[in-house]
Amino acid sequence: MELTADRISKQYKNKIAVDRLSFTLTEGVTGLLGSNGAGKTTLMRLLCGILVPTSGSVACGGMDVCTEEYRDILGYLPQEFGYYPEFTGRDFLLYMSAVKGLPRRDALRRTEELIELVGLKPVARKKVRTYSGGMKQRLGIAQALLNDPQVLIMDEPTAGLDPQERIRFRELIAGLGKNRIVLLSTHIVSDLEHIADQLMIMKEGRLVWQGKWHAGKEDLEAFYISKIQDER
Amino acid sequence: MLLTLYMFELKKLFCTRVNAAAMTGAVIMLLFLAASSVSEKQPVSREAAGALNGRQIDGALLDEMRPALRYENGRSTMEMAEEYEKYVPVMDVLDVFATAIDQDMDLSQMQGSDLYALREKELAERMELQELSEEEKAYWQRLEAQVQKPFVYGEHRGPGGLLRAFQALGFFIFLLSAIGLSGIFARETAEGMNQLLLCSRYGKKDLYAVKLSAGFTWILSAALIVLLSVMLPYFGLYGTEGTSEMLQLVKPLSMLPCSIGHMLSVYTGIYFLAAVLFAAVTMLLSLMTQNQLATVGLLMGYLLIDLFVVFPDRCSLLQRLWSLRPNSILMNAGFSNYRLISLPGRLLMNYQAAPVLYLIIVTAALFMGRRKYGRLQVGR
Repeated sequence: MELTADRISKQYKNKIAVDRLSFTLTEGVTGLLGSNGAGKTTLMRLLCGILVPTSGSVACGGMDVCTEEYRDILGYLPQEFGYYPEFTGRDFLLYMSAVKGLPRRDALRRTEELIELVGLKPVARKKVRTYSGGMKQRLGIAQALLNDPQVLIMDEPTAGLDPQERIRFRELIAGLGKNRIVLLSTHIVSDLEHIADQLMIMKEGRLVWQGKWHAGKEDLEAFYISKIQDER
Repeated sequence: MLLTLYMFELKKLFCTRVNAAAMTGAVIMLLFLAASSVSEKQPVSREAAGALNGRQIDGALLDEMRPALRYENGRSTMEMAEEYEKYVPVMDVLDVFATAIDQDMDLSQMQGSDLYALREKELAERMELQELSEEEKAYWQRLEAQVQKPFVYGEHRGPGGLLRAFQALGFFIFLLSAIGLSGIFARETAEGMNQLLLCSRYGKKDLYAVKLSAGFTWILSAALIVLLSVMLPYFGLYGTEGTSEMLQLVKPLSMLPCSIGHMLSVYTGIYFLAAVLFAAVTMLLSLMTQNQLATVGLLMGYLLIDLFVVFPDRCSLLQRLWSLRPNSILMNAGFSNYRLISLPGRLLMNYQAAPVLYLIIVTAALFMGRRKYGRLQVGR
């Protein structure tokens, strides 16, 4: 399966957030790097079909990203979102399972599995309003995985996680990336260094570099800074 | 799955602290309103009121009451001597009569026939003032001919009180709709949940219908609870008897030959339809503005217009349409507004035209909402 963007652009009044990007994502983990305001979040929203491009198109395995079939295989973790504070963590996952169309039995099974996976079992029946930032982030990661997505898009997934949780998360993503398309953006370069198969570097709405990344061959941080500076 | 989704949407509405507090507050205020309205009445037992059942309100009855009737400071009152206490329920009806027709009416000098002649004169004047067509006048005269005169007293304070309470009910259900449903779509945007919902399988289409269903369930539940919080004190104290008594005992200027119970069922229907209308419009505004505060602001703006804007009698068409708004009908204004809505082949009273108009608005709101929801994007 491939996720293909064909000359997509997104313009807000006089600001071009994404400027004629074309690329193809294949199975594996793709890291998206870029400074704040580079257009990473806009690009991810375009890939999720929740924002319509000003021009160009995005398709996955022949499906337009606006179709129900595509949404059925998509998992998305936005950078920031509110959780219903009156729900428990478990309720939140069951609600998201229902929105994602999981049958009740599967929803219950996946919810329990993912609560266990992200280490929220002791607090699963507590109200989300009592959760710390890290717990909420783990809950967000869990909801993105509910439908066992073939395309997983995560915007700053490690924000708010402590170092131990980040290591666990990296291992989880590396495992998931073996047989699905995973795109994750971060400004913490070390999160990508050992798990990314491909890299995309964005600056001011444009892709300044994309290609395969071989862990250990070069220092990613230095590489990233050099690419950003090359563009100046 | 959609049922599960619906249950969770209900949970969002019913478990939100603001909604629970608004509902509780409304119930307490209405209970207080019902209690204060009941305590204002002079204490007469149901048996005493029942003893007058079936008595015609005519010259003979006025003659029996006359020794206790006084006319002071331009107002008719009844002296509360022990032997006349039993006439208090009839005096209540005469008070309503005087308020509707002539505040200065001197009951102590009045004969039975004078009462109905005054009413007839008032009806004729109002129809002239409202510039009714000959066709409309004939329509009302046909109905008026079926209204029994003299009026016949029957114990009716339970249903009668409830009929008058509908104005407050309409106001509270409007507020509950504004508070409870203004965030139904807007909150998803404000809290960034749209990012998750719109990229989920059911989030783009089915969730709209599920949210609407939950919203309508919330408002209908709220309407029922609010109605019961007024109905129970009235019926608890005065009983349910009186539903078959003539409407004119509580609305003397009505020319409808129907019972209080009949009008109560009409009002109940309109009240629930109004709740659906308020909910549909609130949810549409929530979706259109994507902002809870803006939605509440728009609704409060409408409420002010609703309360203070009155179209003069010469603006016939505007007045006709304006009189169809829920609060106007539930305010009982329709009993003294005789303008009819003319449709090909028939004339409709505002109670008949309003439901049709509400259904049209609700359908249009749902259709516009669906269109907007289908085009919803994140971070535009």
